[in-house]
Amino acid sequence: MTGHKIAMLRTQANLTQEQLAEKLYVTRELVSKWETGKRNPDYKTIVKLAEIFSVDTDEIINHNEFLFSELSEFLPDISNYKSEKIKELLNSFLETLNIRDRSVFIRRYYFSEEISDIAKEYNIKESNVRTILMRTRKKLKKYFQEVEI
Amino acid sequence: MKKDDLYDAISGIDEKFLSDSENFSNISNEFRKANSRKIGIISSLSAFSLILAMTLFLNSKGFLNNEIEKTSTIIENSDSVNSEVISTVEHSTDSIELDTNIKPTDNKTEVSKENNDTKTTGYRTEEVTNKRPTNNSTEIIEDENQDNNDAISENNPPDNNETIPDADNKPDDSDFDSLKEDFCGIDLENWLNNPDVIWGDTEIKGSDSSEKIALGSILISDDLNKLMKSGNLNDVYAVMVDFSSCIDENELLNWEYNGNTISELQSEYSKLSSFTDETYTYIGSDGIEHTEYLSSNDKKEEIKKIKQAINEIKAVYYDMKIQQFSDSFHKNGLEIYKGGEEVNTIFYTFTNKNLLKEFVCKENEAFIFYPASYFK
Repeated sequence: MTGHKIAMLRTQANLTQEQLAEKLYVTRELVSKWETGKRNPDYKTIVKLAEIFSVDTDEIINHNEFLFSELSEFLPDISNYKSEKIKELLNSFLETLNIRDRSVFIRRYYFSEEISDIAKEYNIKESNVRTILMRTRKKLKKYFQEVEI
Repeated sequence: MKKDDLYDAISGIDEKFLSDSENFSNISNEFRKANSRKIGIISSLSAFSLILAMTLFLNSKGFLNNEIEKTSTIIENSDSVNSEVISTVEHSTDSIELDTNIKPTDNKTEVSKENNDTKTTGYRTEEVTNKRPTNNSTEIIEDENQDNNDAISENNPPDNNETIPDADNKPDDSDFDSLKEDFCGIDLENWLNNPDVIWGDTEIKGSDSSEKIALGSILISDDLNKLMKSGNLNDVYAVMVDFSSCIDENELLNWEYNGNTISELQSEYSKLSSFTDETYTYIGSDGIEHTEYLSSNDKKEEIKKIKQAINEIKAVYYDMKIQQFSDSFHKNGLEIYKGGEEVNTIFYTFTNKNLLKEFVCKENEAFIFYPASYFK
């Protein structure tokens, strides 16, 4: 868990949430949300955190290999594009989805939740979650192809 | 793509969308609403189909006109219109049963079960197509009710006064109404690495099977049926599909590729094979009698080339066929995966019970489904 790692590194550095928030120019509440997994810091923040704690970024981010492979094949190689542009496109794509499909997608890929957990949260079948995810990944691929990133 | 790039992109998801996704009860209600709409539409369609089918049937028997006349007379002479109309309907249903030996059509579950039994022993496409509406409606209603308890029911609609975002304004909101599982486009590696996929232990290798079925039909093998009977609805099975039944041998023999046909190559092969049977015997320097095939090495080389050419034609032909089948499979929500290098009339797919039960092929196709035990 990325949040758990941040909390651990902060404690090791003898910093309070407030002190860490000051260093990053964010609110203490946001730091709290990161640590409890309610939100994820963006990559720029991860880089800053790595500097503050003198560790590698990989030590903070807990990459979920399975989720990465599940999603990456449906996205173009975005390494040559500006990060802000990618975020903007991803958000415009999410805007095209209905609230149900969008939320399932976010629970899976932003919050890295298991399919069974998403099914329980939304009181739907696991097979429906899988179908929505598959369909959304395909739509995502098509969307990025159409905007010719 | 680098993991950090993906992380960066995902971490930039709009706060509003994140908050939406955390409102579990609202999203859950959205799903329930969509289900209710789906059930409502399907129920209406089913009822309409049933009425239409009965009307057509009765009309074709010249029954309706007589009954309408009778009913009109009864209604005219009666104080209670409702009770007479109901009795007319009951009378009509009885007549159907006596006339055709068909069970009363209002017993949906029984009809559905009968359809399932028919499918386990193979069925023709036309039969499936005709029976689908009844079958689908029964399954979906039962299925959704199981998962969402009694919250989803036409008698118990969800509260429409909730203050939730109006998903109906979204461009693809109706998608969930037609939500059907879709296994298309999934990478083979995902299935091979998925420990939940159920594999069989059959040793049948496609061409080993001498079983042939009629065009326009599919057959689910007994082994696969047994395997699926013990599983859940959501289980995914690795399935080997034998398409030898829809291979036209004449077309294959005379199909030209690189200026050759299998037919020509086979006759050449026959000539060479018969020639290699000619032998001569001699006594070697060791004093022992030896038998050698005439120019056997040259012939062996040529025979090998011919065999390779025949295999190459078959491989290209089968590939072409598999390409054509992929259209049918995609329409049924399934993906086709080819096995190894061996030239054979099989390919693989991954499916759950529902998708396989509802599989419909084209008139010029025929597939036998076996449990897959491995990829060759």
